[in-house]
Amino acid sequence: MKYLYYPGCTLKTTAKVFEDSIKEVSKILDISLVELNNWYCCQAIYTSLNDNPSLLLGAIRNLIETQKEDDKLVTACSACYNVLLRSQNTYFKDEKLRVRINAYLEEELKREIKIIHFFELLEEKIDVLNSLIKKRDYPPLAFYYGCLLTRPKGIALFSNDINPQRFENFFSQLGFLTIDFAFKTRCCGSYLTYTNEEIVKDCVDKIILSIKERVNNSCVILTTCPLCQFNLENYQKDYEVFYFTQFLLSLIKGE
Amino acid sequence: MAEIRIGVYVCHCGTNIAGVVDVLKVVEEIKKMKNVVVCRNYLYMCSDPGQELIKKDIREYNLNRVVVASCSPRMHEITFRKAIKEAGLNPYLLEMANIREQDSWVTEDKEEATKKAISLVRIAVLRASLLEELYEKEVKVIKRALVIGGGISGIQASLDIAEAGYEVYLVEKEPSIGGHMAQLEKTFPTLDCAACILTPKMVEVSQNPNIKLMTYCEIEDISGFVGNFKVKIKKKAKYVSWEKCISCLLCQEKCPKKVPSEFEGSVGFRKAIYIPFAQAVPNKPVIDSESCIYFQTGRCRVCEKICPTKAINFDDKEEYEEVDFGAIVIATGYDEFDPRLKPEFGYGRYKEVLTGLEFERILNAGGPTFGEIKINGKVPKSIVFIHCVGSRDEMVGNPYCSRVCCMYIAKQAYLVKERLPDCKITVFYIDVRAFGKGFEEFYTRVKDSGVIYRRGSPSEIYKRGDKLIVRSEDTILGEMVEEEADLVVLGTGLVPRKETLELAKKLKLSLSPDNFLLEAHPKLRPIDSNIDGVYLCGCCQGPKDIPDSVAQAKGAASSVIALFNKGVVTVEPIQAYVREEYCSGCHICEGLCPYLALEFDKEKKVMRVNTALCRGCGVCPSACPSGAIVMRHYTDEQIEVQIGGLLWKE
Amino acid sequence: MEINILEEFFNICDEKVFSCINCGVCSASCPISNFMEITPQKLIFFLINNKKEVLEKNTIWLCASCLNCQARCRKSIDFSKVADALRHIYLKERARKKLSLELEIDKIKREILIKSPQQLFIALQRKFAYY
Ligand SMILES: Cc1cc2nc3c(=O)[nH]c(=O)nc-3n(C[C@H](O)[C@H](O)[C@H](O)COP(=O)(O)OP(=O)(O)OC[C@H]3O[C@@H](n4cnc5c(N)ncnc54)[C@H](O)[C@@H]3O)c2cc1C
Ligand code: SF4
Ligand code: SF4
Repeated sequence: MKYLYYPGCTLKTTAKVFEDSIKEVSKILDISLVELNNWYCCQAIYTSLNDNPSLLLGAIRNLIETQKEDDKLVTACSACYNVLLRSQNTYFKDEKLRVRINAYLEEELKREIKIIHFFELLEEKIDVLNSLIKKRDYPPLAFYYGCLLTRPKGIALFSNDINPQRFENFFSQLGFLTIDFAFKTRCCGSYLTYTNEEIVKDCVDKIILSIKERVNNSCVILTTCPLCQFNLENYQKDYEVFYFTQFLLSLIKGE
Repeated sequence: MAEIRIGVYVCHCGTNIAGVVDVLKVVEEIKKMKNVVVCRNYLYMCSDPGQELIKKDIREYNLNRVVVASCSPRMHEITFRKAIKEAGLNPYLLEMANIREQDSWVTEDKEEATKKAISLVRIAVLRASLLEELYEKEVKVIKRALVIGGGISGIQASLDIAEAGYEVYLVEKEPSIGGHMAQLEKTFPTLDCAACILTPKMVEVSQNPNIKLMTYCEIEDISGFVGNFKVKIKKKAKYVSWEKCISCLLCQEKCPKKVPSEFEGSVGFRKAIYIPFAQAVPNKPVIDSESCIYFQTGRCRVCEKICPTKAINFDDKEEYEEVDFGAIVIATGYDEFDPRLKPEFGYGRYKEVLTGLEFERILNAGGPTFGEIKINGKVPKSIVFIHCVGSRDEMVGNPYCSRVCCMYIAKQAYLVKERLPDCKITVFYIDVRAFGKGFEEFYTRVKDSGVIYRRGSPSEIYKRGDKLIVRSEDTILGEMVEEEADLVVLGTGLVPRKETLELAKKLKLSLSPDNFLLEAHPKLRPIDSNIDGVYLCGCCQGPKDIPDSVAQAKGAASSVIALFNKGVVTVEPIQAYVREEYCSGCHICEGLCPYLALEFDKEKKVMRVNTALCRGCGVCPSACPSGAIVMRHYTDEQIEVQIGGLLWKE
Repeated sequence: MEINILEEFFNICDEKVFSCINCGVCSASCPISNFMEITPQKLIFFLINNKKEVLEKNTIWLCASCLNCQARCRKSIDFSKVADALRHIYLKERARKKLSLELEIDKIKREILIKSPQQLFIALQRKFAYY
């Protein structure tokens, strides 16, 4: 299958390992990802103010670029996923704002683009993956969802946004033990890293504590977001943290 | 035709209408109309002097049509029909113009409102001249009542109707009556034991010769109308002959299969052959074929071997019974909110988190711990209660207050304090609603006993070591709280039952926005449903406590008794009829009628309206391609003249 | 600042803050509320009472828009939108008075700046910039 693919800026730079693993996994699974032409930064956070259309422009421009070729767009970064989804949602829901956004654009966004998370493609290929995996004697997996994939309620990827089970189901179908911990969707502290490091430390501490109460020995933490990855790697040393594709790849390679 | 003589009466409704509409101007305009003999305005037309005014005019001016311009006909059409009838006119020669709900209440501009009032009254006058005399019919009422649901509400309603000497069928879907009240320990605010006051009533039901108790039964189908409902009742297969059973319950003891019990919640078990609880009425078991080993694997039949009277019958089949009733009381109660919809509270993840009803069972001497307050075999040192779980919460679609959780939490906290004085009890609340008789006094007593109330709605429950941590803000202190607990009780709210929604569809009952059953009027008709002859009581109409449920049940019972005492119902003559000479027998109307009132006359090859079933909804006349069907009181001519009047310009 | 905070607020945000019942579930669910000068619930209460002090509280800067509270609020209020709007009102006021921003990029640790993901930095800039 061929898909248009939106990497976003982080995957091209500090989260290069994430993109590399995505590319390799998709090659192995026969998913062809074609990078979107002329893509821009999505603007990194969705801004809710209703008086300034320019704040949604980045995301909408990317979707307009998409509509020239396809009506689907694949992305793997949680932030890009969240921003694209919410901006598009606002564009189609808020008529007044749409008119104002359009004033900045040469072309309108004509139809809704289906924004797909790379994980959804993997879900479809679970049987192939199952046959490829060489190594299964791993400690249990703690999937850290974070906030961007699970909220706002109603439009995000996971229907049950407080205790989602989709990744757990996926990995248990692949034969792994997973951990159901209370803070899997609690925020990691996000960009407060720059201004208030102590807060991020506290956030990460609490998340780790809630994993600890559910496991006896070791475990592996999986993420889908460069931001979560960064904070979890930087502010705790108890557990290893991987991007979920990075982890899958090592399973396939049997490393 | 005799000369048409119309009297028009424009009501001020205090300032409701006259505050916006220039009533005198309306009168002045309408006076100019053809056929209008008198036109008057008055402060309150519905008052006694107001009605007298109309009656006097009818006699004096020999009026033969009356138009009242006031509120919605839903309010006072019946009042005015009665008034003109008393003055010797046929009640269907009345026409109302709604210049309150449809005009003065919704129009700000006074001039606009006055103009609108004039047009509304004008078309009423036009229509009035075309009205015809109609005569109501009386139909005999079948003096047998159906009560659906055997909780405290259904029990009370059945007992009252039976007491008045009428026959009652009490249909309950579970093997025993009792409902949720049977699960409770003591009841607020007086702390009398639920079983002690409920069990005698349950026994009374089983012994009353006027009550036919049908447990383990469901309503399959309902048709008909007030006085003459036809109901098909499904008797589920019990696999036990209750005639032979002597209630020794050896079968229940020996059955090897244990499954979670509906009655005890997640804290207890029952067998595959079971009575739901010890005081069940009737005290006879049923086999739940879905968990029975024999039905699932073809082997076992232990109960059959052990039964001394050979009462077990694995070949039992469900049966149906059709019965006619004059009135129906709906008392199907509520479901407890499923806290899995609020995953942050960890219900299902941590077995130390219980719902309100589960904790009632823990407190109850007949419950799984025999009344000892224990969790995981240990006596808790600290307990946290949480208010408003699944109530007042738009996130789960329940914006309403469940009305009983504040008080049942106070009750449960108090009962714990009595039995475990050293246990630390913390209650997280948003508001404490102690609105009933004796409630505030009880709440004070609970607080005095040392239960700690902290204001805040917890966001999370998680574990640290073997303790549960409840995280909340104390909004009064403005600080974060992480309260340790051995046991957390969720103040789960009340939600409408799924089965009630199905029943509502079958009966065409209306629902309120919260999905509970809707009463005919929120203040003045709180027990009537939107269907004549169908009454509501208890929690199926909305969350309420036992005293309110019983009061409503008694109200429903007296409505039924009043109907039966009268013995007849009048059927509104506003019905369709077929002009046979125009009907081509195309059958188009037949499938459209929601009340199945259209029948085909095979000999004459035309359709006929069954006047016992027609409710005058108006679907068929608008569908008939040859215009053969006429709706009495809403004929095409009567409607056309109104439309014409609205389009008329000066 | 001589402004009517509520009026300014409703100009750019339509969150229904008046329906708040001050249950505090937002504060409790907030992973950062321990560090806030006033909790989200209190901030809303200040706001609906038209107290312009809300602009001086660190709460509006610490909110990371993780929406943990939005997923729980009984009245469907999204506090992140409230914080977002108040930040903008603050920034707009400063811009009007030609005051410089408080965020000093130099104070950020170099090793973090180098290693941290792009999106973090852009997000941070977005938060402190007035458009
Ligand atoms: C934890 C808790 C504690 C409480 N404590 C108190 C207290 O201390 N004091 C107090 O006053 N109130 C208390 N209440 C409230 C009390 O439970 C209710 O007011 C009362 O039980 C309502 O009775 P009901 O008959 O209307 O409904 P229910 O008890 O729900 O009875 C309805 C019956 O109808 C049956 N049924 C449902 N649908 C159908 C169908 N389609 N066909 C046939 N049968 C059907 C059901 O099986 C059930 O037997 C408490 C509630 C809870 C949740
Ligand atoms: S009764 Fe009390 S606890 Fe229950 S929903 Fe109403 S306010 Fe909340
Ligand atoms: S959660 Fe919602 S209702 Fe409760 S205090 Fe916060 S904003 Fe108000």
